[in-house]
Amino acid sequence: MRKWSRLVGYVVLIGLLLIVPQFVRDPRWMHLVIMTGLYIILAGGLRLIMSTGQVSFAHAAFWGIGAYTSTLLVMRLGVSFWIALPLSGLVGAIVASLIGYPCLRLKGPYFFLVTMVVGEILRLFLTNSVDFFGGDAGISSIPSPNRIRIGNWAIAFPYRSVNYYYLMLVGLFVSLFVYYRLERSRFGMICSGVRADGSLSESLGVNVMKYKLTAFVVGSLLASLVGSFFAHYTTFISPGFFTFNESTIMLIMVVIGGLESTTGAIIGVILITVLTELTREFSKYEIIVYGAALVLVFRFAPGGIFDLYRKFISRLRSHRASVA
Amino acid sequence: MLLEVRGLTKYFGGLAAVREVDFDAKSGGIMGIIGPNGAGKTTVFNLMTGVHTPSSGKIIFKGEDITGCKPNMAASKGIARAFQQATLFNNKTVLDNMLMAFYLESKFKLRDAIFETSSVREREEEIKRKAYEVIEFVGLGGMAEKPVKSLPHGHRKCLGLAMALAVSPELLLLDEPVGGMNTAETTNMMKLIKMLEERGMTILLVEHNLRAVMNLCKRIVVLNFGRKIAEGSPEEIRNDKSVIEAYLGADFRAA
Repeated sequence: MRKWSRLVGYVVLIGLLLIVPQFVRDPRWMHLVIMTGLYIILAGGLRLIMSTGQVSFAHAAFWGIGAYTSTLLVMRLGVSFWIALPLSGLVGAIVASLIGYPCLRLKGPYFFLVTMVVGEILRLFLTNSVDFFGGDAGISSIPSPNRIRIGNWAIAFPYRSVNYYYLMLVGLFVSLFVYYRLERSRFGMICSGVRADGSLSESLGVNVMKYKLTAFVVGSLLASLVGSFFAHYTTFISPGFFTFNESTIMLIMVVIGGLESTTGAIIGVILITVLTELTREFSKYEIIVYGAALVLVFRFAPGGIFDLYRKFISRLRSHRASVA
Repeated sequence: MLLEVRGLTKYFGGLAAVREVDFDAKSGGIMGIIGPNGAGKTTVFNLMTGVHTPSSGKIIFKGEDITGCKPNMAASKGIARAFQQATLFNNKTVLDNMLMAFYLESKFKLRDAIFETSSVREREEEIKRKAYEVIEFVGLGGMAEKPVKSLPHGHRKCLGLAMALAVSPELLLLDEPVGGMNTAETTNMMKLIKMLEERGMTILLVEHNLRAVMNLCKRIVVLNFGRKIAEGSPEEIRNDKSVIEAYLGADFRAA
């Protein structure tokens, strides 16, 4: 019975998401919806990494690595977007392994410091290499994805087409499926054990390094895939998009929503996106809004908003049980 | 011989925490390590489980040199450990702690997480059943759903032991198993340890409660300032001059 009602819930949700373009006709709003979806994939990946107790400040950098890899493959080598997309994910995963393998052994804040440096190196590298990476000005007129044919159907991707929304949706479904399966299986349980007490986990036979590395590589891989899509969708990228500031915002999204679950990350993304839109006129003071939100969350819900909600529900249930 | 320790030495900077310690443990039976605070007892455990790498010396387990292997490798080779401070996953329930501990046996793969096949689900059920069994065995039956935070010290220690058992060890290291317990809890824990011995498990324990040590152990190793100063049966240790001088005190024999 419960299983059925849940299934119906999923179907309704997917149906609603499919007809979103019918209601959101303004391209500016459509762009916002697509970006929210991309941020959910990004923040979900960061949550996965953080669920093992490590904070990556290079998350935006991996987004950038994906974007630049894909752009260069398509523009310089004439590779099709559909091949450049998985290749940029692969490049992201390789870079993540190379950084993670030596550095995830570091205890305390050192991994976080290393990833901060990685992000900064990438930015400096991109801004100083004008000939190859376009320098500070970035790269513009990135070609759209090639059309795909399925039998008699042809799906094309002209600038700001609604098809980008559906492509994003496919990516979102796949990533959320991966995130939730990882979270709710033994893998997620062991990750939270590694976060709570690494040496106890080790004494029980858990290869702590393997879990940290897997989470870091999977999270970074998905961020790189988002980067590839982002580049061909917006047709313009520059080093300024993928900096420390972006990583900070993603981190704030995860912390505000709640680290314990992917649902927390989704809530964080939506909340911050809405807050940003509401305060667009004072965007200079954006960081103050984030700061205030962080302080409020730390003070009243250290486990994030989703954790607060879960506690409220379980208290309500036990209250009902005691009344009955 | 299940375990052979040869010339085990560990320096922390200039300080020798463990110096040239040798001892053997036969399969089956309980062996005790005693000595004053700072004698290097816990360091010996840390060296055996790979938390620290020895400065020199060898640890041979089941004929295989395991010197310097990582803690998770030591666990998968069959050496489990219950911690002194009853280290648990504090934000989880008793059952969840147990499930975490059963990780080793579950041979879990990343693809199992993403594609939940029926064999994966069956295995999860099997693990759950085993977890309840061990919880029952250590006397925590009916507390499976309780958060670990709310458990009294004695129960926490029992759960720590249960989690070590989940690794299905051949050699079980207990760091002060009855430390900080009241009389009833101590008696209960001693009964548990004896039951494990009867099941053929080899147990190595560090303990300050001498009544428990003398009662449980067939052999005792005494450490002082990182060196082994004596080894023998409880009777021999009780009458050993250097042990009385270093640790037991002159009035122990009388008591």
